[in-house]
Amino acid sequence: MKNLSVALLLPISCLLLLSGCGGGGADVGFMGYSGGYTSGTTSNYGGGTSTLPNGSNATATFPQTLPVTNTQGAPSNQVNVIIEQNPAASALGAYSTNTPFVSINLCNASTQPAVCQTIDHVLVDTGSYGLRLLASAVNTNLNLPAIQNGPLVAECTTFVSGFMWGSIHTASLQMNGELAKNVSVQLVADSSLPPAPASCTGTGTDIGNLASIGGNGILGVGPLIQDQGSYYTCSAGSCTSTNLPLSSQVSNPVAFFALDNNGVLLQFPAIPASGQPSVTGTLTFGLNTQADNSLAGFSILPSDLSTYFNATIAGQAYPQSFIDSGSVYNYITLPGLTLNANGDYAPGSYTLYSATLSSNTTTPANPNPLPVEFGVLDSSVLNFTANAAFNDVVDPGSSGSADFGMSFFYGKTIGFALVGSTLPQGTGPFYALQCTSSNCL
Amino acid sequence: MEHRLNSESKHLVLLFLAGALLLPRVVGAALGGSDQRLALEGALQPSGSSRLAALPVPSGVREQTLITPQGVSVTQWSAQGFVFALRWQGPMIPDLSAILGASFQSYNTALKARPRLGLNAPLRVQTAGLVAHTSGHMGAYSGWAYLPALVPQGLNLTTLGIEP
Repeated sequence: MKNLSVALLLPISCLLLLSGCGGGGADVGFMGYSGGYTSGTTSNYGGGTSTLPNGSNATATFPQTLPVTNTQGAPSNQVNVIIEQNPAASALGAYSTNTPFVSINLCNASTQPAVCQTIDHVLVDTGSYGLRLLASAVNTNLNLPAIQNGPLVAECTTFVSGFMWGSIHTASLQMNGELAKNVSVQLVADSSLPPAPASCTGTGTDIGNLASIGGNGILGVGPLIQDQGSYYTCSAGSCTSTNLPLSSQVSNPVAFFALDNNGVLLQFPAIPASGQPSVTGTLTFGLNTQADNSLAGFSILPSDLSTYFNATIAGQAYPQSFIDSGSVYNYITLPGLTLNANGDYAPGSYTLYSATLSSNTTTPANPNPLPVEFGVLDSSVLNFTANAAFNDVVDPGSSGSADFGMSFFYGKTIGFALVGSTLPQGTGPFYALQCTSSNCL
Repeated sequence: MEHRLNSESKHLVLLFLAGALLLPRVVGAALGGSDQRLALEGALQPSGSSRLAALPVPSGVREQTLITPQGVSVTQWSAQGFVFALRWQGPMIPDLSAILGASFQSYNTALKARPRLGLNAPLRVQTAGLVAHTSGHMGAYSGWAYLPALVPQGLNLTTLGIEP
């Protein structure tokens, strides 16, 4: 009888899935414009203003706007990343502490001329894959096409902190000289969708809003490509679960760039232990494709196909560790330390901890276990109103996992090689680390 | 034990047929509830096949593992007819309200109460009634939960891969 119930479940599941079968998908070829890069050789990058351009909406001729000039004084494969209090989030009483923001240019390239919009304060997240924008931040005259004819496709995107419910559309994304054409993106909290079904609301709490995200959306540029999420088709006011082909799923736009499509580098300067009001770093596209993204001199950290590696801290192994710019602090269990009222570790004084990072599998073997350090300071002495950037707040982690969050990125350049990319340093996914300051913090 | 499963499966089939066309959810067991089929759509796995713990099932404890169509593996453990612990792992967070049952409210209250820590700061819920943990990032999440009041005396939760 146990088997009978399973046997009955399967055909019904198939019925529920039928509407999504064979759906057309976005073009996922590594296509795009074939223009050259004329300004990718300067090494004097990292300049620019400390605030992001405000959102604007413009009708642009597209793709004739490419190659663009250096909009931020940077090489064309690079954009500035800003850590600051986002005024729009502050107005809602939300802090955007340690939240790395970029501006993007979002386009509907299905029309000529294309319609584009600059969207500011989009979170750069190395722990996810694909572009997700609050529907309320996208101007309606962009009128982004749905990914397929028929019922609207929706996704329930889950994070530990909660879910985002939104519709799936095709868009083109431009960042400085890079163009990702016809990539599936999610419009979060899209009022044209039916409410999130119980199977989605049951995963946690709704974080598809400005106060929870801290910005207008998430740009997932981690080492994988498709998000492999929970998709639905929606009609007649309700949504049912469906299988969406990988080629139609929300995907890391970096993989869609014409040339610099094998990974990214995130670089941030060192900051003081007391924090800093704002920080300007850079997001550089491609690895070993331009003069500014060579991995020569980097320490290589292989990961498994879930982007996990092993961290050894105080003799304890954490084999599901990862480096995630979308995590605000470091989340690492430190036995013996007490917690303050914020829930953060509170040592008596600033304390440096050591960790050794290495591959968690034998293939690929790790050539060199990598020693790193991170600081811990009682956050009750920190000013979270004046400062947005902190490198030394640590919260308890998981038994098998150290989450090296945004706190870890300062004083370093960290590379994220996309799955399947083949480089002299290895085959992705892997991480690459290099210090940009003497103390690497 | 098998008799119990059989009779409950009959109910399950009827309930499922009644509800399937409206809701892709399954009526069944939840944390703290009676020892039925896991309340998620998916394929039950042979007994002792948990991909999560790969640990021997303690005596007096019944283990049930299911894999959802999205590839999330969920294992629940029950004793004396009641589910006292579960553990899950997969590319996304599953419908926790279905498998945590009444305890989902405690879980979600803890989730909402914490400050903005980014997308994937691990969550630990530590209340008198429920202890739970969720961690990971897109494509590779995992978690566990147990009800301290229902854990059999003398059972070491770490043998189930749970950190008490």
